[in-house]
Amino acid sequence: MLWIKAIHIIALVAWFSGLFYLPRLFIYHTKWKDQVSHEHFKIMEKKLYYYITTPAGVLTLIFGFWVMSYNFSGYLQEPWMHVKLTLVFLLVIYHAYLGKVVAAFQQDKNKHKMGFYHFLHALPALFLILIVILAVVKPGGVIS
Amino acid sequence: MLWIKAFHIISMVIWFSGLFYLPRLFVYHASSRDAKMNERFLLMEKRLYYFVTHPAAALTLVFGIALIYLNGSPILHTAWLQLKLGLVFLLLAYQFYLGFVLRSFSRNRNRHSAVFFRWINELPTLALIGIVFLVVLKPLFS
Repeated sequence: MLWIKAIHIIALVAWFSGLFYLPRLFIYHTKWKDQVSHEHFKIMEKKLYYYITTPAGVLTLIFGFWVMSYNFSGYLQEPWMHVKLTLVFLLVIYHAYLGKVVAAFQQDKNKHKMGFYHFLHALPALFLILIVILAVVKPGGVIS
Repeated sequence: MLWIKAFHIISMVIWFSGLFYLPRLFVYHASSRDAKMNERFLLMEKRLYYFVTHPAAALTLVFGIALIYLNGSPILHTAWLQLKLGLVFLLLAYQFYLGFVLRSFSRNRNRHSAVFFRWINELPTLALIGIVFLVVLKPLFS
């Protein structure tokens, strides 16, 4: 079980590295509008989203549920786990939304301003902080 | 102690996000011939290095050292922690090397190819795998 937990954590670090840097790329992409930048950012966003962030996100989920499968009913009785799973669900929606933005940029159809991406950029840090605290501190939990 | 552990992990994730993406920026930077674009890459690299990677590394170390302190000195005699600290030391050396590369880019004196940066981009992944396995599987190492 510990091996699976280790892989879950490794995948999570890779996933968040993508979730952190993609909106940063969107900020630069909206800031610098010339053709050379535009072409560069399109490639960088596509590669980061499809080759790093999405595979790492899928692996994090698979190995996370795998860890849970060892004591499924036990984990589901933990209050912190309910909150954590809700946050993960929201994070997956956030991830899918980033994919929508990547696609919009690919088709030169971005409609948002830089300020919006600054806001978007702040969200994954919030998720990370809450999720890690829940998983490590396990407030109100029984399973160690 | 669990709270400090949580903050240690949070800073570690942010630290690695910098260690992962900085060499990736070098890959693009080394293959770009556009002067304006290179200026922009330099700005992106500097921001990521000085405002994200460095502070996150410092926080990871501070919280990590606090955890060792709270655990008491016997933990320093465990094999898993010694190996882990060895990897952390290599990771810091790697980070300073990235800073060295960054300065050579800012003086227009980079001599490495995109392929070189693609290779060194794999190093933090190896360190991450080693470190996480040592920490999570520590019962097997003690």
